[in-house]
Amino acid sequence: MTTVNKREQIWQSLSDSEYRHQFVDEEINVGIAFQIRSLRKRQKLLQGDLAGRMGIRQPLISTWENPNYGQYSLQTLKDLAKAFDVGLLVRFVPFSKMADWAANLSPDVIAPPNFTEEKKGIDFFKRMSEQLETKDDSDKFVDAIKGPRPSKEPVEYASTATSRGDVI
Amino acid sequence: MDSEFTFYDYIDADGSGVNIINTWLNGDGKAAKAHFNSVIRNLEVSPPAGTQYSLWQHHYIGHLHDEWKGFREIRKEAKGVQYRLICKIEKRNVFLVTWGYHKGRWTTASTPQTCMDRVIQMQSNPRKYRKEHDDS
Repeated sequence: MTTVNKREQIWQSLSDSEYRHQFVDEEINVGIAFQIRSLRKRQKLLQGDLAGRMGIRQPLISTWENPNYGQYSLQTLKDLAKAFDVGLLVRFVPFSKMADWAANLSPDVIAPPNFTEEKKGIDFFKRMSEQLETKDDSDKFVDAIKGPRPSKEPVEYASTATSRGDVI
Repeated sequence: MDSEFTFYDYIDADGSGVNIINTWLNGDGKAAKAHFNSVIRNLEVSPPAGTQYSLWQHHYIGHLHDEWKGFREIRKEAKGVQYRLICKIEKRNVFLVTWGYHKGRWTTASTPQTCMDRVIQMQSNPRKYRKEHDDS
């Protein structure tokens, strides 16, 4: 199903006011629970590791990862954002914005990179775009990734398949 | 959407002709509809079980036992009733085949054999018996 169709379905369902408010509830309850566990996995942390970072007991992490919990305080969310070193947005928005968000979920939306990982990615693209301005087309991309190589030597490209969560 | 899995609703093509999952979620199961839809959207983009980032596990989706062995469920408790959406996973396809309530005891309109028959129908004649999960 395309994102547009999914968005249309979500938008249509929001015409019902009772459902609309349940939708807000569940997008927070389910969304936060999935994000906590996904972020923890992306950062290779056990529940105990995360609890240690936050100075709390491990069972609380398990409770927060339950999509039926739904009792997060703003302070808890801010503490989690700090522990994961990611940003946190708490805003009132139009329903269309929520429908867009819900229809466009992806692994990187659920578990975004932390600051260090994001900075590495940004620095990499900055370096690459600087090289693009000075090198000839055939070499620029490889050079940006692997560094300069001998000009006439054939190059073998190893498989670059990486698992999700590798540095961008 | 960057989907890992596709959820399908069972269409009762030989009977009423309706999407039984969507019909229930807009009827008796309405209190749990937003929860189920949100869990489904998150699971759709979660890598398969056994991989490093998978969320196909406890809290999000449960394994059923005894005569329901082989089926999975998504649960939601609302207003003192435990709602359950029952599915079967085959590779990257998730077939939503029936639902149930738990009000002191487990109640569902379908038997495990009926559900298994539905899975076979959804696999063998997808155009007739299944539709991508409907959020509306």
